[in-house]
Amino acid sequence: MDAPAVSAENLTRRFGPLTAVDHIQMNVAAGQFFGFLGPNGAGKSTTIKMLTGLLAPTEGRIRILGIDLEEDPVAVKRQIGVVPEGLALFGRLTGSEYLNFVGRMYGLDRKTTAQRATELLDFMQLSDRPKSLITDYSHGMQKKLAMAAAVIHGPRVLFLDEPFEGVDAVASGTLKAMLQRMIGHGATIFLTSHVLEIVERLCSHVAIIHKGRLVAQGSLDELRSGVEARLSAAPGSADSASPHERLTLEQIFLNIVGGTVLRDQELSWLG
Amino acid sequence: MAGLSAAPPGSASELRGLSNVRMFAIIAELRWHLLRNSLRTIRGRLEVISRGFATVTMTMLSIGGAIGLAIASYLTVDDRRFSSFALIFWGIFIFWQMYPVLGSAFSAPFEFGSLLRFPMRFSSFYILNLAFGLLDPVSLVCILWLFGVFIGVGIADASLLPWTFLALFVFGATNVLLSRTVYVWLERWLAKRRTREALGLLFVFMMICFQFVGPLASRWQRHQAPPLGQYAYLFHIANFLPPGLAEAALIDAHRGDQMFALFSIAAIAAYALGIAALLGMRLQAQFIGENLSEALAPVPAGHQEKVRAAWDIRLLPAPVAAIFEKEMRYLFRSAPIIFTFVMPLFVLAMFRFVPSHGGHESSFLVKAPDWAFPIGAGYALLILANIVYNSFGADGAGLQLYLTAPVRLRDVLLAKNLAHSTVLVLATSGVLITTIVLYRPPSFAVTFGTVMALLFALPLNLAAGNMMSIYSPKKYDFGAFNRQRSTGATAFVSMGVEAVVVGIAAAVFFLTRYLHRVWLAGIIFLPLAAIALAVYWVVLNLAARRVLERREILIAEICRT
Repeated sequence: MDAPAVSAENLTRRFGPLTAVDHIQMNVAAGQFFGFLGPNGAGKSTTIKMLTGLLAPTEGRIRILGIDLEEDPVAVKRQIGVVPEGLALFGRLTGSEYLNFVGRMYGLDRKTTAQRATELLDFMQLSDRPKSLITDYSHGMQKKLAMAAAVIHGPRVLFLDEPFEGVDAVASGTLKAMLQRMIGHGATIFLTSHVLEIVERLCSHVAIIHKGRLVAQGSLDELRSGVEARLSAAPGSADSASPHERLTLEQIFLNIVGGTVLRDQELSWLG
Repeated sequence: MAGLSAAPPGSASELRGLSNVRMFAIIAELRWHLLRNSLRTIRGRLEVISRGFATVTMTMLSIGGAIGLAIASYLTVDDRRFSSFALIFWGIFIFWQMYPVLGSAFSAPFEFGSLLRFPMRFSSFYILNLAFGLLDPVSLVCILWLFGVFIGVGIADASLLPWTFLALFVFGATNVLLSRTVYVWLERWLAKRRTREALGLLFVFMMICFQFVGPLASRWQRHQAPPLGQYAYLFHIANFLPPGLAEAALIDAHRGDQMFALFSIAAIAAYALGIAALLGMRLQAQFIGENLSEALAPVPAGHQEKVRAAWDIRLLPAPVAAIFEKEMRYLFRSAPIIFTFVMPLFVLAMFRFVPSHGGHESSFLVKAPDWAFPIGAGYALLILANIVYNSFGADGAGLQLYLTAPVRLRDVLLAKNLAHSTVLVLATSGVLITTIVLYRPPSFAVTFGTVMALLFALPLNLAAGNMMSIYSPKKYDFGAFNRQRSTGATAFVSMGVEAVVVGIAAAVFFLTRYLHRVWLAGIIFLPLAAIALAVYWVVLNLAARRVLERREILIAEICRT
């Protein structure tokens, strides 16, 4: 059996008295489009930072494609692409200079890098401003460039932290098409996003983290069945979905992590 | 949540417009909260303490200036030398207008336009803008100085008080309006990165040029009288500008020519109205919203070019070459870095033209031109410390790439050090050429000694710089000229290393010169350079391990927005 693309054993991260990530056990099979969800401050970004080598775990072990991240970080990093929180861009380079730089950092030769950079800039519709510095790009353009940089070396595992945040519908469609193509070619994508509709449409498997603990993990259908079983076991449970409708990911998510319900008298002055 | 429901019912249509005073009070309260919250960190507390000291110093200087101006005004009226008022009013005028401009070039502007998201009338926006201008520290200082003038004139001749009050009031109002107008236009330019950088560079070069005013004036004085006659018309023009008109009003009032005095004051008021209209135009543009996008015009479809390949540096491994190229592009796109690059050349030029001891003697370097090259090269090394001791500072969020890419951190540091060394080589070459052109070609012994001294000093600086870049990082914007000081620890360590390194180099040069064996300097530095290189190599490996251990601190400091 192939090694999981991403494997975390007892992954823990503490910041002083705060345990941001608490003994996570997680396996992502190769070729999966994996959504990692959680409310704000749940520990998503901390986890993705640990998985990509940006943050050292307090406890636990990480393996990417069977390679231990702590033992051979360079070998792991050759296999992965990352779009981290805040993007890893150098503002005072142009888009093409940046892609040239990243390609060379991943060991591509000059010619291949330039060829792929041309293709990527064209595909991402970023080739019409060749002289603009990245710092002058719009947020959406920066996101697309970061994505282009993350895939220029053809990674086998791609980590994306909120890739669709601040991206317009056109760019979002472009990014999704590219990600689907990668999945089709056997890559694994590990993504965090607050846009649950996108996750539901793209991801085959999902994990939900809440207050640092992994509270659910599995395929969408497995999660749905679990929540539906719980709802049916609790009659009178106030849920908007009728028994004949499939639960959406948003409903599953809210059911698992809980949410605030606006009561009649609250915020009544809003009209 | 229950507390929220207790809020009084209301809707957007029920909201009443806020008075200007209330609006100002709200903004003052907001700034107070910002100040109070900044005290939560040690850095914030230190900043407030340093501002406190600056405020006390400025207040003392302002009060001293006001007393001085009161005395000067008293003597001017008492001695009937009214033309001296021109000097006083021009001095105040230039300070009032120039100081905020210079300040803006070095610091991020307060985004007054951000208030526009709130329901505010244009008149309120205009008045609040003026109120900000009036309460600006520079305006307060200048108003205090005008008050000093008023008191001085009043003591000397009480009959001039009404005219002085009128002239100074209109003059002050004109200055407030003009400073705000200049500021909002600057704000417009500073909102764009390119114009901000260009303006910053322009001001720095202006400041450098000011250094040459004294020496050039001195040379004129020694050789021939400056040809001022042909520029005399400038003084006539100055008479029709607000400071000249304020002076004229006081002279006319003293002579009893009340009509002329009134005419001068009316002319200043006309300036004020014109400036107010200009200010209104700019604020109106802000009020209705304007696009300050910096994106370049897109290339027409079909004209898109292929990406050019990266630099072909075959001597270096691919990641090292890539980082080297990126560093060089960064450094040469940075106006402050170019400034530090050319500064040694300016210093050499200044020593060439600045006479010492009151303009009667040539400078030290003119007498001993052999020292120009070592001193210039040493200065280039000292300036380079700005980037060497904070080598991750300008990377911003890009720093994360070094940690996620399959590259050894030792290679990252090595590439950065190679780029910094290349800058030093280029700067030193510039110094050598300047020395040859302005002084004379340095002897072989001095050139060899200087190169060897650099080979000794540079690796030690790089080694210390790598460690400080990891242990005391600070985010740095290569595009900004604002005060981007290194951390206290970095400043302390870099000064210590420079003191030791430059001290040793200077001692070797002085000793060999004293012994008339300057050629010996290069030979002495040779083993020292070998030791320094060995130290560098050991520290490089150590530093690479430390980067990984301290990655969280580095990311938290360098990648913050």
